[in-house]
Parts: sequence; C-alpha cells; structure tokens
Amino acid sequence: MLLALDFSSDVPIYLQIRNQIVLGISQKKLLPGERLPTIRCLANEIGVNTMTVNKAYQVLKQEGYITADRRSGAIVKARESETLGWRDKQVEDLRLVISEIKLCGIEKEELLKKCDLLYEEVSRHGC
Amino acid sequence: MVVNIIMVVSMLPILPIIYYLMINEAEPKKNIVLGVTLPVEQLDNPLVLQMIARYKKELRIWSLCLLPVLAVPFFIKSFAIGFSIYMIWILVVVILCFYPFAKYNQKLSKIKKEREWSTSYANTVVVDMKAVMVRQSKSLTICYLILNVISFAPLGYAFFYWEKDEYFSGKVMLFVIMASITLLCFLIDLLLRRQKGEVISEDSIRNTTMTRIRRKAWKDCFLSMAACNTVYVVITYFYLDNKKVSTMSFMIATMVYSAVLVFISLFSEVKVRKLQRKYSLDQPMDVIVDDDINWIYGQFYYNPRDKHTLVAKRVGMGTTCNLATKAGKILSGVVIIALLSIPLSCVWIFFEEFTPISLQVSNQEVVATHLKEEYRIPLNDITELEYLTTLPRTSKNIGTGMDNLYKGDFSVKGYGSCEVCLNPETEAFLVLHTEEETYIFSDETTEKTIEVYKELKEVIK
Repeated sequence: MLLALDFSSDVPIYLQIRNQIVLGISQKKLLPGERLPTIRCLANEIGVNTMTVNKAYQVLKQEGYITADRRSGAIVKARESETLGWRDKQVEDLRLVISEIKLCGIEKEELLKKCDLLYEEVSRHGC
Repeated sequence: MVVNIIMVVSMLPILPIIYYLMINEAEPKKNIVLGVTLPVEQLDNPLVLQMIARYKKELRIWSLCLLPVLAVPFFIKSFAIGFSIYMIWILVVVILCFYPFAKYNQKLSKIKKEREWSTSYANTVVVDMKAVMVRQSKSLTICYLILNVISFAPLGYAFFYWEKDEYFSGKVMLFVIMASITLLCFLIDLLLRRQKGEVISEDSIRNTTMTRIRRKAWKDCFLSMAACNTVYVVITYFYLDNKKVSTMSFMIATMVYSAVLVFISLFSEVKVRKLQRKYSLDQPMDVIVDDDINWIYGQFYYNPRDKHTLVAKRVGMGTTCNLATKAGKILSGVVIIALLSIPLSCVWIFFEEFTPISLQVSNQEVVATHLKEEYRIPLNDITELEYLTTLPRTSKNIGTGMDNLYKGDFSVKGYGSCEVCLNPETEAFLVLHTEEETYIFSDETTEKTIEVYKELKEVIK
C-alpha cells in the first residue's frame, strides 16, 4: 500500500498518515493481522520525526484500527462488527460534510448518488 | 615516456566510463529521461526523442574532442607540465560531460512545463508500506568484522614489531588509511540499508523487488570492495616489510586492485540500471513519483524537507548527498576541496621540478637544500667521502623521482638503501658515509658539486 504525503498541504502529516491507513484498511489493501512498519522505519522513510508517526499510530490505536505494543509492533486489527458501527465523531464529521455540500447547492439525490459511487469505488478496491 | 604510458593507461578508461554512464542517462528508467520524470505516454514523443538524439550527439563531440588531449604530454619534456595536463584533463572530463546533461535536462524540463505533462505524484513523498519493511540480513556484519580484523592486523603488527625509523609514521598512516577503507565499506553499507524503498507501482511486490535489487547490489558491491581492499592491505604490508613482495609484483597488485574496484562499481551500477530499465519498460509503471523539483539540473539533490543526508540516486545504485542538510553542505565542501586539490597538486609538482637543488658547506655542516632544507650533516659525522661521475642504478623506495630530481629514500646499486638529494642529469655526485646512513648528493650543476667535493676533501682529510 502506498502512502502519498503532501508536505505543502494544510492537513498535518500525522493526519495524512492516519487517513491513508484508514483508507487502505477500508479498501482491503491492508488486511487484518498485517504488520505495519515500525515507527522508526516509517519516520525514516518519510523523512519526518518519529513523534509524527507515533501520533498517527496512537490515533489509529485509539480509534480501534490497529493494535500496537512494544513487542509485536503495530498490527491491523481484525475489527468486531460492533466496532464498525457509527460513532458519534463520524456522525458529527458527516453532518459537517453534508452541511458544506448543501451550502454548495447540491441536491439530496445528487449527494446520495455520489455517495453511492464512492462507496462502490471503495468496495471495488478491496475486491 | 614510461610515465606517460602509465598515465595514459590509467586515465584513458575514465572517458569511456563517464561517456557510457552519461549516455545511459538518455535511456528511460523508472520513467526518468535526462533527469526529467515524464508520463509513460510521452516517452516516445518526437520532441523527447529529438532532445535525446541531440544530447547524445553533443556528448559524443565532447568526448571525441577530449580524447586526443591525452597525447599532448608525449611531446612535452617537462614532467610537471605533462602531469598538470593529465590532472586538468580529468577535471575537464568530469565537468564537460555533465554540461550537456545539465543543458538538455533544462530544455526537457521546460518542454514538460510548457506542455503540462503531469505525473501521478508531484511534490509529494510517496512510500510503500511493504517496501519500508524490507530488511537486510545482519549476518553480513560478521563478514565485515573478519575483513576489518584482517585489514587492521598489519597496522597492529607494524606498530609493535617494526623498526621505528623516520618512515615509520608514514607507513603507519598508510596502513590506517588503507584499513579505514574496509571499515568505511561497512559503515556505508550500514547507512545504505536505511535508504528509502523504491516506488514504481501500486503493487507492493514490485516495489519491494526493486528495493531488494538495489540493496542487494549495494551489499554485494561494498562487501566485494571490502574483501578486495583487505587483500591489498595484506600485499602492501608484505611489500613494506623489507620488500617480501617485489616492487613489480606490488605495482601489478595495485593495478589489479584499481581495476577490480572499478569493475565492481561499474558491474553493480550497470546491473541495477538494466533491471530498472527492464522493470519499468516491460511492465509499465502505474505510479510515477515526480520529485524533479528537488533535483537541480537532474543531478544535485536539494530537498530541505528531507532530513536524510545520503540519498539514493533515482537511477542506478549510486548515492548522492542532500545539499539542503548541514552534513550535505559539509560533504559537498569536502568534495569541492578535493577537486580543487588536483590543480594544487600540480603547483606543488611545478615547484618540485623547477626549484634547483643546492649543496653547500656552512658552519661545519653539509647542507642539501631543495624547496626547504632537506639534509644537514655535521662534518664530524662523515666517516668516508666518495666522488662519482656517474650515478649507479637506482630505484625509488619513498620520495620524488623525476628526470632532474631524485629526493628521498632510494636503493642504489652497490650502496643499498641511501638518502639522496641530487640532480641525475649532472655528472658529479658525492657519497657521504656516516655511521648510521649513506647519503648521495649533488648540486644543480656539476661545477658546484666539484667545488663542494674539494672543500669537503680538505676538511675530512
């Protein structure tokens, strides 16, 4: 799986790493039980401080996407069905995105159609 | 004549090697042509092909113009002038062969910008999560340990058992430098194991394969160099230890050593380039990482966002330094100083050749001067004085040996190891025996040497 990090972006690097790993898991490019690179290796490869990668892994761990400990390193977590449900934060994020889209003048039908396409796209990558 | 032949034989391969490496830059590898990253569909664009053809032509012209220059020193009697021509030729070869590359890199970059040929990932750092995890076996460390022990062993032995004469510190320094090369191979190998993984595809297997190819080439290259250097250190030890290896055998070993080092580097480089070309052409790359902006003239890496000092070149197995880091700046400074020291060495050789030798008796001492005071022997120490009209056969051990200057430690037929400071083109030489050493001196002119001889004869009588 590739991580493409834009250093000129306003999105912090740790968040870009987190987002792309989540995307990779959803697209099944990263499978449950798969080992992630160590913090030091990944930080060295990207050319950032180890704290940046550490922060990304900590967020992923808190959100339940990975397990991480000193001995076995970071591993993609096999998620239980209940952890896959809607979370408050995700609902809030979605509410904000929908509001922004609505303000752009996009109708509900068009939005649902686009969502459908994106969902298909994400699912297709995993096949 | 012999010196010129040796110099030409040593210098001549430099041009075809650089020519081959530079012409190879025109072949697309990992979608990079002349240091410019291009989209796959533009690799066959007539404009690109035209640029490549022009670049190749210009490179050929430069190379053909530089080739005959090597013959010039054959028509010049002065060693210093001939040597300077060879040294400056090397600098010019390096600079001029890079000039066409920089020129056409800029032209192609301009075309790419004008035509808006966009690539997959521009100005982003792309890493493959799997390639990051490619690790090299640590069992190599034991090989390096053995090689380093063997390399440093002669130094230890010499330090404890060799006679500590005036050349001892020079010999020890030589061993330190030579053994350090083996250690350096290990350190570089260690450093290169941490280099970034390759990204040419969405497929991690292809990326890890490409990463392994490059790392294996590094591993093989530096381990072979370390082994080769170790053998050479041992041969040098036997040569310096009362010439247990003859001078001729040592010279042959030196030539073989240099040739093998060049062969190992070239072989590894060519192998990696071929594989990179094969992988990127047979199976077109679906991911193109475009970091042209970080490569000045396609050659010099400058990326303030990258904290690595040593980075892998985009093509081949070579490495370069990041000019944006402090260590990179220092390293480049050292390289520039090393390059500038080449013409400076010519200045020194000019002084060596064109400064006349002087021999005189003053304050009850014989003083031989050349550039600085080379020898000062109290008259009381001289046990025997000889006058020679022809110089016996000599061979240099350590020092300077030119047509008009012999200076240093020489083996002289009939006298053994002697300290000499003389002009072999004159016809008068003085052999001074002391209890510890034998010296052979002359002045710049035969007449002056005879005068000194007469003066000495009176005193020593």
